[in-house]
Amino acid sequence: MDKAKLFDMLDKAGDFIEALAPLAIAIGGPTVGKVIDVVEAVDDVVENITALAKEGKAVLQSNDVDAIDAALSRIRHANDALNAAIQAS
Amino acid sequence: MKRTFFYCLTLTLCAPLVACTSGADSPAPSPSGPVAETSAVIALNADKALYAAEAAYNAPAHAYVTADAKGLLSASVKAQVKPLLVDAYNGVVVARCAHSFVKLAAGVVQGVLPSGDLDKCPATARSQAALDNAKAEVEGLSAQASSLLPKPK
Repeated sequence: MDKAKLFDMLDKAGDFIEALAPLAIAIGGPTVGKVIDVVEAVDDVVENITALAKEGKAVLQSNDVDAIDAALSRIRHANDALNAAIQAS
Repeated sequence: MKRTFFYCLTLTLCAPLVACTSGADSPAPSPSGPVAETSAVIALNADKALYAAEAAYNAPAHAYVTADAKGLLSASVKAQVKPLLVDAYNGVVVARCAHSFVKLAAGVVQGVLPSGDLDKCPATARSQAALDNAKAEVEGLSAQASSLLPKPK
């Protein structure tokens, strides 16, 4: 996969997560399909970054660390809320 | 926000990755070059495993909460599924601990749990192997829970 394609995937994953945030807030947790889409998109990205790294092609950029942390944090908070609801059920 | 998810360490800003290893038992980092790059890949693998665990839990947990809110779960189903989801969430918590320790061991401080939470992590949840095991456990429990929940119409 070339870098342009990878950037396109990154953009799509970012769009998914941004679209998901208000929905998660509104209903207390992301819809199942959307979250799986997001995670699979991120998973694909990680796979491809790893592949590029093996080929010595990837260039790392420091300002993206916060973004991946934010995505993990959103899923973490959604799951914390779901766990609270399950415990209370 | 776009151009997201490319991973890096501040130490390796704009450095090409030339090495790839996995596991917390990789060679100890040295101050420059390929070692720091290896740390970035270790951190990526840890992130990937934690994403998988969080996602595996999220699907049945959300299905359970949604179905319960609609009154679609019998007492029997709830009695079967709830303990599975509670155990799965506990597995997620272990995965978060292991994820944090793996990243710290790799010299990556971003994305780790607060120090107060780290102090609560069991000693057995501090390696890539522990993260992989927790992920597998969460996936198994979540699959069991999913199989018992009513299918969406």
